[in-house]
Amino acid sequence: MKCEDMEKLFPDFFKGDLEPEIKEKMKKHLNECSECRLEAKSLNLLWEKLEEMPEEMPGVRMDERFDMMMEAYASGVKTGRSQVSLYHKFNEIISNILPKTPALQFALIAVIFFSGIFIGDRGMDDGNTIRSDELARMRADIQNTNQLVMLSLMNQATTSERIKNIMKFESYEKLNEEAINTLITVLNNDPDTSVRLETIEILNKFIDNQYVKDNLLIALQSQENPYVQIALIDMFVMENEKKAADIFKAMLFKNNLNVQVKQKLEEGIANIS
Amino acid sequence: MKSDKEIMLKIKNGDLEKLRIIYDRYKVKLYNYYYRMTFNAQLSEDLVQDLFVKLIKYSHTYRGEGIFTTWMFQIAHNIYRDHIRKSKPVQDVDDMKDRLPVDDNVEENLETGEDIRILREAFKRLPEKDREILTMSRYQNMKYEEIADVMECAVGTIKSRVHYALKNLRTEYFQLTNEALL
Repeated sequence: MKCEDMEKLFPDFFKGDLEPEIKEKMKKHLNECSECRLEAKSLNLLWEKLEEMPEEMPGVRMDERFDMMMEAYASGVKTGRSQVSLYHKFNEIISNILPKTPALQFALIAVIFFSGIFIGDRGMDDGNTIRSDELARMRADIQNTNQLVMLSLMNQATTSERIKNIMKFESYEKLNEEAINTLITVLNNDPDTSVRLETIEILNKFIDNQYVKDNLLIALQSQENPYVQIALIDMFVMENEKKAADIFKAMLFKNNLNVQVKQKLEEGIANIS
Repeated sequence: MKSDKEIMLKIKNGDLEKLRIIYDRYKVKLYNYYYRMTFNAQLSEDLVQDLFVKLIKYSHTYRGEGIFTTWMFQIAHNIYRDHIRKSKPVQDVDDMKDRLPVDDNVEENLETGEDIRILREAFKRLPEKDREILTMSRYQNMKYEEIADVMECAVGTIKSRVHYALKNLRTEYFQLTNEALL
């Protein structure tokens, strides 16, 4: 092996990770090549010195924030059942409409899809060409249909399935009003904090939509979960949303306000210019 | 003692309380990973917090295959990349050393030896990629294969990068040592 190849193996050599056969080759090479021997010695000194760079210890605050997060998740699970009436009502309606087995659910989706194509065919003019405005309308129809189907699947039982369905909205350029309303309902009522946080991330993508922004500002005022509150506060601060500053000020008067949330609100008021 | 893999699979199945075990095992390592990337204590704590939220959020994607820490550091690495993207939209690697936040650990500088202080300063001056790769290799004791998985590149590339990062560190270290002697 050339010097260049050997050099690349130095870190492995220092860590003692070389295969015995290659290790022997390395030793032999270092005995024969004074240049590499010097280079290895110099880099090894530095490698060893890196070990002396002390490990940093996180502050107590990090543990406190972790505990707070765990409590938020636990309280989300405990109180979830009593908070989800609207959300369950929505699920109940959808459950009654949707078939129970996945095969039949897919069949329904297929029917919706092919109906779209059929409707699309009828939309063609006599010359069998589609005008660009019609094409745009059809695309919008298909997006709306897809969003409707995804919203229907929001009644899946497990948290991971609900998160997966919410994440699918990320690929859309626009959300229809129905989708926004449902996502806001999920944000306000889902029993699981991680589902609610994911919903905030998705809605954040559409924050330029005034309807989304207004609904999120309303939602912020009714949140009790500190983790959800902090995620919403961070989002509005990032957006430099002036209307949010007034809501932050009002929230400071809430009873039993979490210490971390209070701190975030104060920082937010100072940062929104 | 249960393995990380067993614990993470329990978390995946809804036993969130088990996350405390993972937190206790890795909080210092993760904090140091971020600290050595940012040299900012507050930010490092925030990023660790983000990581644990993401561990819950993405627990459904955990399949129990491979090494748990590789999966965890993939998420940690992505969180750092997201942070960089959001806070510094245009990032010139050569320019990094001028943009690093001020070191907030003043006490440490007084307590440790001059050579360690210089080494720390030299480490801070490295380009971001060099710092990350040395942190994973030297401080997290990750194998090249694991680092390659986290950084999504070939093992050979990682080997070369560790070597060059070490050489770059030596250059910065000698330069700072010479400046200190003058």
